[in-house]
Amino acid sequence: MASVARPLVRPLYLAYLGFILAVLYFPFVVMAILSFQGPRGGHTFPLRGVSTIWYWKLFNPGKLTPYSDVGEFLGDYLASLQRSVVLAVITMLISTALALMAAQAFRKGFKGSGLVFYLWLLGIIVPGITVSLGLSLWFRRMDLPLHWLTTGLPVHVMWTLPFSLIVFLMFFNRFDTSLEDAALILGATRWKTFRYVTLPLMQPAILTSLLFGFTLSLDEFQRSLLITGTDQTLPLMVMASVTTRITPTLYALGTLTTLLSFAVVGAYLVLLTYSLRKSRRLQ
Amino acid sequence: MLEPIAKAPAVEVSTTLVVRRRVAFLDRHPGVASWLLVLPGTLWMMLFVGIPLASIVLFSFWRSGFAGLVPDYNVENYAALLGGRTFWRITLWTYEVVIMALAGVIVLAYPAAYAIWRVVRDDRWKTAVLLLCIVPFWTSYLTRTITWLPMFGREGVVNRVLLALGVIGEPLEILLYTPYSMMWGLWSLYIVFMIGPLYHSMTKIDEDVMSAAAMLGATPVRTFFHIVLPLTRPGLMAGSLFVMVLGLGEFFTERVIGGAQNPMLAGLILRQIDIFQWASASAIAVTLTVLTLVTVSAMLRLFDLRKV
Repeated sequence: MASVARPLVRPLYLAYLGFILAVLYFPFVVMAILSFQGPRGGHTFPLRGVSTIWYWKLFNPGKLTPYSDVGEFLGDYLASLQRSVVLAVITMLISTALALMAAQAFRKGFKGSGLVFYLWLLGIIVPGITVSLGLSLWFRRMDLPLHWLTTGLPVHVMWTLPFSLIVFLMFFNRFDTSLEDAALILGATRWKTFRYVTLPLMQPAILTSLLFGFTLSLDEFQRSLLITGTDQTLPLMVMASVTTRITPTLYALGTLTTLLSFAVVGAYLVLLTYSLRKSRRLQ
Repeated sequence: MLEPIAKAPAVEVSTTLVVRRRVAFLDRHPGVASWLLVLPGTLWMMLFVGIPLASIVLFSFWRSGFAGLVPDYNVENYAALLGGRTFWRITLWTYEVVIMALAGVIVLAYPAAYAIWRVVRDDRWKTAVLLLCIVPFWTSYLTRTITWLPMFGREGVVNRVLLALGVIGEPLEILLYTPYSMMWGLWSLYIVFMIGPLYHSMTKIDEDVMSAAAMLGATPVRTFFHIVLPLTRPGLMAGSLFVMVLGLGEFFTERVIGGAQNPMLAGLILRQIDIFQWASASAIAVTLTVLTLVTVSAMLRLFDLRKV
């Protein structure tokens, strides 16, 4: 494609892109370097030696070491990471299934679809802290015990559902119905058409919805802030530790979870490429 | 090529008559089928958006006692809130922050999206750079906020670099725990919501329109304001909606890198909860929700999100 940009302007634009990417990624690199801070070092430069003590602390929560500081946050990050991952997997599955069903209705259109769409959108629009406060007060009134899974799951799914729906609606906006029509004309029922034609073609959208469900749930803190009880999810644990005292343990954790996120996105991209190739073959 | 469809008749033979009749009923009544399909998700949303909203509205008229909320209906919470100057100052501040955040994100994101669209030539590079601009969206928001701490502190990377270069003689104090650092944090956090949608809208602009503008001698500035800006409105609106909604509910960035001195409305709610003023917190939450809904519906009037 011919570029309209004039010769002098081009390097400027590329430099600017480089700047934006640096803003997005350089802090990660700094954090990763500081996570190998020496045992006597603090949460900023200079590096006072190099060590893996902060990773060790991460994997051995609550153990005092000669290097433990007064007021250091000794929570069990890994247990909360485990909870968060379990919650994220359940959330992404429920969210994708419910949104997939709803999207089938939305693409055909039905009475009141506009109203229902905006109701779903409220899940994104209503400020998270409001949801958290309202639910926590209500749960307490009802004497429901707060627990990361039982009271946490509802808000996690509520937060991810609208995203999943938008993913599917965007997919159907550019969906070619000719294969479905062919199936229907050839005598397949609506269910069969869906099962054997639509669903295989939807694979890329399903993968995207799963990715959104997983990552948004893994990072959710505003809505679940007041309602997960004593066993906290990872983001809430991070919030708690940030407000007490910041140590390089937090950077070690941040580095590991960021790598986890990159791995998840990487896996998604591989699967997406594969399924796009497959669905192109089908068409 | 048509293999999946060819399978269908073979399976159909085994379908029982009952199921076929039911399917036929739904076939004849697509409206009923649609409602059955949206119902589970819609119920979920109604419950877990409806209950919290109903409960903050209810509890905002109660009173915070020593042991919890007391059903002693009054409008004191609102009177105290709307009558005091603090609330109005903080509301104004919230909007100042969100509008500044949005303006900054738009100014930062347009050249980036434009560069990916027109300046990066190779298609594979385009995809790669675009992906790099979006991937942070899928990483942790909290971590991304925290990463600015070692960058901006008194001992931070930025101060060290500036000192080493001789630009400044003393470490800058305004880099961390100030409204400036919070704003920078918000820009870097929210820009990922804007570049993707903008680029998406840009790719939908007809190549001929751009060539025509160039051939007729339009300056880049003119092309931008008369072609690119109007035609990328859907992407701009989608991104802006995100920034507004998340910005209005923001409290973490303010607490962690903003110095915790200038709370926005969401932060004010948290501070009320910290001192066990649940009724007052509910009243602020109601106000914040109403403000958010009014802001968003004003924006949605300008375009339909389903058409992105």
